[in-house]
Amino acid sequence: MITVTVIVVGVIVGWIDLPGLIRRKEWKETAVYSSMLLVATFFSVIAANLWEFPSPLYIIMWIYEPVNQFLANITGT
Amino acid sequence: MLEQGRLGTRQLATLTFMMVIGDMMLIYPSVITSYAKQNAWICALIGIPLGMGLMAMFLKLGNMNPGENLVQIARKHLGFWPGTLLSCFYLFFFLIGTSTHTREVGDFMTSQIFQYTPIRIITLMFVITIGWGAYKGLETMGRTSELLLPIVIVFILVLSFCLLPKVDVSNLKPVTDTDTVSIMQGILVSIIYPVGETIPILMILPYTARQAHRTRDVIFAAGLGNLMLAMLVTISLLVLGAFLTQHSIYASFILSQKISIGGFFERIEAIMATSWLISTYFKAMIYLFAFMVGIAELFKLKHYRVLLLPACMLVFGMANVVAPNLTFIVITIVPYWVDWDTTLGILLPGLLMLVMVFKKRIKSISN
Repeated sequence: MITVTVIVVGVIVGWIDLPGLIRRKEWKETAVYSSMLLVATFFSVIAANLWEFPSPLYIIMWIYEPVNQFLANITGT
Repeated sequence: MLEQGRLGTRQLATLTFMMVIGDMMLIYPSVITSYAKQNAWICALIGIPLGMGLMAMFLKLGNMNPGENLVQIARKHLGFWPGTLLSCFYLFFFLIGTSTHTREVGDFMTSQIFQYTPIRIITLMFVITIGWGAYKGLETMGRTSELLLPIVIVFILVLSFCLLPKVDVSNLKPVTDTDTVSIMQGILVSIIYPVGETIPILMILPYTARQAHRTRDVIFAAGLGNLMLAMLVTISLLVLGAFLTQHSIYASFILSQKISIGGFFERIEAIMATSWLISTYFKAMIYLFAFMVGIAELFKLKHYRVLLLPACMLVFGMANVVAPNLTFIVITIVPYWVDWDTTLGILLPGLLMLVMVFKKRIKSISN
């Protein structure tokens, strides 16, 4: 039910902006807009259902884990 | 030019102040105390001039490239593809920043004030509000921040002064207990958390009017904001002590619950929460604005405002995905977040400055 609601909201959002963009032949805007809307709808569905999903901050943790260990080795903490 | 509006110097300064204060009021005392223990107030005070220096570097970077935002600066000086990569890194930070602030608002409200409201509702309301603000444009944000600034300052001052009867100086002792590394970490946090996170100011600098004293006023605003935070850290150390400050997630909120003057003036924590919400609102709005303008600049779109609705939906989705639980943002991620902020706030702008100075030098030699 709630999934359907979110998807309907996404369709409405697309309905508001996309026709104008296509009519003005702004293809780059249309492409960026629709890909962003697809990603947004995907994450909103996950958020609205409170499903578990790996946090994007794990990328940051993965990047800085060696740095942190290196610094901890130097300072001896 | 993507945005037509023009910010005045005073509005830019108030926005900077809001960005320094925003979101830090609640979590900054516990983060800095977890590094420097009872000497956190010294670190916070040392961080004020250093933070003003960092702000001066941001402004110098903006002033050396008038009329260009961060994406354009990076592309101009590093070349197209490295600049794009750097911009993507920054845009990721802006998106995650907005989502994190939204999530913090949701977590705070559902755990302390509206305990039976689902977090999605709070998040949705906050996202709609920041979306409306970003839709109205930069000038409106600046004027609104001018209007709401006194409320925030007065609330912080009331909080600090009403707690003076409960001060216990022995909480600050012993002074010589912490080692040098912890002190250095505390100083780094006191620079990078409040001032380093104002990096989106580089995205709004091109849309401000170039008036006299702009640099001075903005640096002064950053210093003032940092001073307010140092005051909060000091008062929470004096009243709660290092242990309680470190281990309570919302230290300032607990502080405001402790205010009781003559059994009459008490329970003003909702006012404190309001002032935190106002400042966080501005910070999240600037981050959302920077994200939209950055995306529009990255793909060379004609206008950014059309991206508003998907961006808001993305922030709503990300706000839930960004952290599995409440303690993730406040405890688990903090060491990595400090590194990330250091990279984005000090190292990469410093790298850009170096490249620019180097290019100028080479040009002057070859002439």
